[in-house]
Amino acid sequence: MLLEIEDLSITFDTAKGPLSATRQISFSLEEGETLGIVGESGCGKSITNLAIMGLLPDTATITAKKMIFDGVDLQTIKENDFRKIRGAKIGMIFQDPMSALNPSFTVGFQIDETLKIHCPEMDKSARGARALELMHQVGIPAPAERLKNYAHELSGGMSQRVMIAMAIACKPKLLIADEPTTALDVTIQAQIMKLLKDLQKEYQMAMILVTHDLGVVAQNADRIQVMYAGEIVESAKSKVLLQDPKHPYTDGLLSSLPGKKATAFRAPLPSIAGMVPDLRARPNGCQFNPRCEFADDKCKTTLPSLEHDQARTLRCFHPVGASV
Amino acid sequence: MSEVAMTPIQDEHVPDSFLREFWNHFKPNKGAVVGLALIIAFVIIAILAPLLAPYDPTLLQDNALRLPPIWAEAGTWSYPLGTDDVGRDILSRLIHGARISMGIGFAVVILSLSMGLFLGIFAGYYGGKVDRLIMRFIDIVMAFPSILLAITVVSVMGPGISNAIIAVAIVAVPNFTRIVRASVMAERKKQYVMASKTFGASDLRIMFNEILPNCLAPLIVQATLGFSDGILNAAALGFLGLGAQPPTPEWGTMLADSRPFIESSPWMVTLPGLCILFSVLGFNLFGDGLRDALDPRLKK
Amino acid sequence: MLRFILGKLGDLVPTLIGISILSFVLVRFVPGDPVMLLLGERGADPAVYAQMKKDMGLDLPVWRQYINFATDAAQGDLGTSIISKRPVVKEFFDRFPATLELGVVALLFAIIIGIPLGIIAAVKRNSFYDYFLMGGSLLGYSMPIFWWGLVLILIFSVQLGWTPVSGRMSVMFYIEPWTGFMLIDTLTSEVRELDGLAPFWSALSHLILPAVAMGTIPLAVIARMTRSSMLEVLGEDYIRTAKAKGLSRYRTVAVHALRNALIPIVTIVGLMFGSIITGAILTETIFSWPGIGRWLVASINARDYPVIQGGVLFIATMIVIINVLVDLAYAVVNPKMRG
Repeated sequence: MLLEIEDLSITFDTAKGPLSATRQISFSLEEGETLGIVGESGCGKSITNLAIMGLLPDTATITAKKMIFDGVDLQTIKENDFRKIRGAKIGMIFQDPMSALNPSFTVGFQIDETLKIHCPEMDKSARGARALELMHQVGIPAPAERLKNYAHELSGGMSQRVMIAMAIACKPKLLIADEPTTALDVTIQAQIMKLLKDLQKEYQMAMILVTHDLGVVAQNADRIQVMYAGEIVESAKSKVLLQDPKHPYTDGLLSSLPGKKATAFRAPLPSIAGMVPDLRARPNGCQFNPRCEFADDKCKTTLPSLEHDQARTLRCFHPVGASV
Repeated sequence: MSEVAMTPIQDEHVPDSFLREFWNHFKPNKGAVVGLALIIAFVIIAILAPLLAPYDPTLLQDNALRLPPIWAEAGTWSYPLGTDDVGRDILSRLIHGARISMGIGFAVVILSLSMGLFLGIFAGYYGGKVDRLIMRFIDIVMAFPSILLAITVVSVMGPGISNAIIAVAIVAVPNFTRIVRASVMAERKKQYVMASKTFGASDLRIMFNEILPNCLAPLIVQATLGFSDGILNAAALGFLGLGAQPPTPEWGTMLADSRPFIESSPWMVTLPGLCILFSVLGFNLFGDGLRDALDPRLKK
Repeated sequence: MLRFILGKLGDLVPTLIGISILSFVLVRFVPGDPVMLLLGERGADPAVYAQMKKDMGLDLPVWRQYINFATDAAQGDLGTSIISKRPVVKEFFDRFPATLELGVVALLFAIIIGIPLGIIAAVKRNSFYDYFLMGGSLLGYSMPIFWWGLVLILIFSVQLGWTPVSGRMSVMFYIEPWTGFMLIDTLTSEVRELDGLAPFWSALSHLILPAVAMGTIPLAVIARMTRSSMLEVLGEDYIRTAKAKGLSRYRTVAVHALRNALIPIVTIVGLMFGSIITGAILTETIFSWPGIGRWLVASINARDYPVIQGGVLFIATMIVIINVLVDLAYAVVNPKMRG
């Protein structure tokens, strides 16, 4: 087991009172496995990633039963040791590559920096060779010239490749990709995703793929975890989830994708009515109940717990397809 | 007795009146509130000067030369802040000095604001040649350090308060012009201007009735800060002997007069300067607070 | 890039012309008759009056006078001082090094202390330290500089006796002017043979109070600007990336953040030059510092118009040129503007 998260809850201390961003998040990841996390903006998926990296601000309080990565307890680790893991054993890439690279330094400088800090045994020429090798691996043509470029001189796709090169420079065991293709052109998206999969195979990396785009996880994830309002609502192997969604939210998400379910020609695409709840004023009971067509009194008062069975994890009293 | 607990339905947040929302943003900024208090204090002192001052500020008293203030050994309550080298009561002079400084600041702001407004609106609205001409003029004026320009103007026109006011106002015009111009340029491209034009509104009418009210926020902030600059520059001129002339109790002039006595009667030097400091501080604190309170408001 | 430079330089010319016109016009508004001022009683004689008027070039039409003034100025001739009878340009350059030395030291003081203070305030945002610093900065630029100089004299010269009250150098030493900068000239081998390091310390002790007085406002402004620039940079995405790469806090701030935060500071420092000149005029008066500031004030009081005109023109020109240099420096420092 590479990564084990159990009962992770994150609360923010804001001017208007405490804000519970995530509740009871539990999941695990094996080596080489790809976990796709989907959900709307604000559902807590990015915050969970930052918590794993230890990059949340001081205003955040993290409580968890377990947070173990590669045998290391992330809750008790000293900051100095955590820094050795960040960027080396866990790599992370972000949504907007153009703004994620420092505009005042060349791309080469920034890659070299990662190597200098995490691989002190490499000397200057070794680092230079590795940088070229990385650029080549991520598919950047004329790598030697590109290393001298600044971020604003590269296209979005190229910049994201550079980010990926930086993230895998030290052969991490886990790569966290937070909306890696959202800011890119559609044609580039497919290329980047393929690149990530290829690299994953080569380096035997586990990957957490966070996105709001179901199409991306459908093709690239082994397991999919659906989050809503800071909680996990359903989680299962990709095929299982996509073909047989049980949570009404998952079902609604899939239905709103064109072609996923049989809809009459020219009939309007179904969408889920309502809005994500204000996390400062959470509804009682199941967080999804205001928007759920199956909601009853029980749903409005009691929070369903996360149930595990062989095929999936589910947080719902009235799964789709079950008898009422 | 049954109490029905009524939970009011939480509506969407209904925006309060502008003033109330503004005050909500402004109040937590303690510095700004202190600034406002200082300003109000000085303005009141300025207005009530003749009533508050125990003595005539120009009254020479041979028997009370260079008396120290109340916290020194030889100080007396008859002259709580001491007297100067010709026997004038410093407290009274400082109080009247407040009247002069506030008056100067006010005059400077009014003058420079109107001029800057005028130039800025025309430059921003018409653009093109008019804009380039006006901005070239502004660049030239800004090439002269403020004191230098003020000094030169005054040296040419002759010393005195009114000339000092004019000189300092000239120096302050570029800042206002730039702010107004920037605001107008931003507004000019918006829909309501186009709409007004289609209704046949004249340029002047559009400029002053429609665009101007939307540019008020940064203008008010600059006016407040212009007050503090005005007081400082006028005091500097007074210090150099080019502004208010003795025996006028202007704070800067008082500082110049007190220089020879820095060793023997240091309070003559420190007190007028402290008055300048606190009045300028008041305006700066308030202006900063205004800027912070108005900005996010604008973004909403 | 070249186009950018040429554009800036080309922009300079009309501004310089405008400055010269303004300088010229300002002084021409002098009330009273400058000829009579100079001649006094002798001016009653029409022949003497006419001759003097001709000598001063005032018999020509105004626009002609301006052309003469401008062309002379372009060639480095700014007229002759009425008081000292020496060329304005020579008088100016005799005194300029003193002001320059003071200004440079004041600016260095402001930068060396202001930037680190601003960085710390940004990193420790909203802490007591932050509020204290920003409050101090507000105080710094609310102070009248001429009063602050006097207070410094009161505390350090009068009460504590640590520094001299005025002047640039103790009268005990004569220093042969070489660069014009006391801090350098007092370290030449001739001086050290004669008096050791005493002249150097004397120069330093004379310099310190006026430099602090002059540098206080720039320090306040630079600290503030550094803080806000730093805060803005610290919120950028690439700082998050730097942390995700496992960089130490120190490296994230000192290398990644600082490099970007300093870019707007370059512009600010350039603008501080105008503030330095303003400060020079007032500070030199208080400390009897033999620079152009004190000279200008004295000339104004003595109605020495060629000096006022020439001095104002020179200073304004310097400032405009420095602004252009700052714009160019900004283009060099900001990678987004290169290429």
